[in-house]
Amino acid sequence: MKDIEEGFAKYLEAKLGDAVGVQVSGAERIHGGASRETYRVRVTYSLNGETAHRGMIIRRDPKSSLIETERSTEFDAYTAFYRTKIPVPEPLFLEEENNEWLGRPFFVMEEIEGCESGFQGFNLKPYSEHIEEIGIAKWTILGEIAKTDPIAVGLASKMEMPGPGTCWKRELDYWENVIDQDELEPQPIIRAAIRNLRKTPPPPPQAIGVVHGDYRTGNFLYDGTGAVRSILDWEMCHLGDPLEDLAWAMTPLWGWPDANRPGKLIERDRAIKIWEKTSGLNVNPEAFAWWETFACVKGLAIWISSSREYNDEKNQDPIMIISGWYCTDVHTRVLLDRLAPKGGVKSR
Amino acid sequence: MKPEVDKVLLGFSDTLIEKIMPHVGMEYVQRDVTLLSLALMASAEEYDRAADIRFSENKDMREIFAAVAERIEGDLGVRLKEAGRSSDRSLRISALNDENVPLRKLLIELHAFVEESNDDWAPEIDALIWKALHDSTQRRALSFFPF
Repeated sequence: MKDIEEGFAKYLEAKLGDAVGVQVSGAERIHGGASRETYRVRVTYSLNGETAHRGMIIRRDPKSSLIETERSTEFDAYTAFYRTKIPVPEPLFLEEENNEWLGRPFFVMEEIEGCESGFQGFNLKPYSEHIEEIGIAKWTILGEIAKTDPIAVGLASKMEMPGPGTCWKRELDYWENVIDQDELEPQPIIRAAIRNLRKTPPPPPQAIGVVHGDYRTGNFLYDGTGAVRSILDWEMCHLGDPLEDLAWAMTPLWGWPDANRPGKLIERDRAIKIWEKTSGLNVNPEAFAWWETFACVKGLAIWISSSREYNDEKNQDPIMIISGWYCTDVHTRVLLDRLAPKGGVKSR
Repeated sequence: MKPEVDKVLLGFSDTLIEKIMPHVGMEYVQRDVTLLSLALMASAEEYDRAADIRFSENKDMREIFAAVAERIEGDLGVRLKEAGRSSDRSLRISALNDENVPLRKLLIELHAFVEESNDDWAPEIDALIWKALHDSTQRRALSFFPF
């Protein structure tokens, strides 16, 4: 980790101009989304006579990634939502080219301290005593994201604005192409799903909104009082149908095997009501069913990519194989259950 | 090799968690150890059934192709007939995969054809395909989910 500390200290010296005594210590790799290497560092420096101590998170491009995304997408989202009702860390620096400091492109944000992110924390005190508050906050914040005007927060000028009738097609085309590129074996169930989705497109969205793209337990920070302190991992953020985000957040994989408690928090029906009340949008059953099936296809595309990356020895982080095996298994079962004719399928 | 490979993999999985993990300091590496242990558990489950999964899938797909081949004209019908008559010549995983991949491709093509067909027999074949996909998914399902 010395290379990270030394490289980042030099970067800060170059960036902070008049700052003196820049020190970077305690560099540690942490889990933080599958598409970038994430490091936690402690930074000390003096500027204009004041000494600053702060934790920072560095998100550096990997040599190969589970999800191919632009780091500027994530940085733009943090910039858009910083100091709004949607809690995000303060975005600090963005370097989009290979560079002398950390080698590969990276961006930096403040560290939100004293929080948990995984579902494992839901079983530990004090978090276990606040499952309901965390659940309510999670779905309320997703509703806030859904009702955000992309123009007002400056994202409309940075992200493609799809036409109301084309949101679904753009997303389906993108993820089908990922499957075309990365599948290691033919996928009859996924192909049947894609045909079905193309034959039965959803109605246009009630409004084009901001879609986080990976909103789920694991991608937000919560504390011991039941507060959600930060929404993370905006690398798949785009503009589109807000129902896409709700369907992804509710896909049964995140709460498996309990599909009625998405993300292992509050009940599904209650979560939908909170989202509707906050966003001011309605969950059209027909449209939502389409996006729920799509969520399985998108998930499977990501897990297929993860299998491909591991298979081709581009990225042999064990998470790639766990995603490629376990997540593919569950999402395939969920998708099959959604598609197969009811009553027409019996075990041998 | 005795003990069987699945038993050995499960033993390795336990060793990682019980003996190695307590000596790992870095949180990030602890996660890797946990994931490796989980991957070994899945590998153990797959060891015993991998050949059966592929053999059974290939058999099911060939039966469907043989049942429908006479009803479909042209190139697709010819290929279905040929595939329906094919067989696995080895139980090595690599050999079964070599058979499985073209069969799955053909199943996708047949499924899309059947969905668009107005013939009386189409719903029956569609149901057979879904049954094969259901059985395949059941066979491939892992017995537990770690998250």
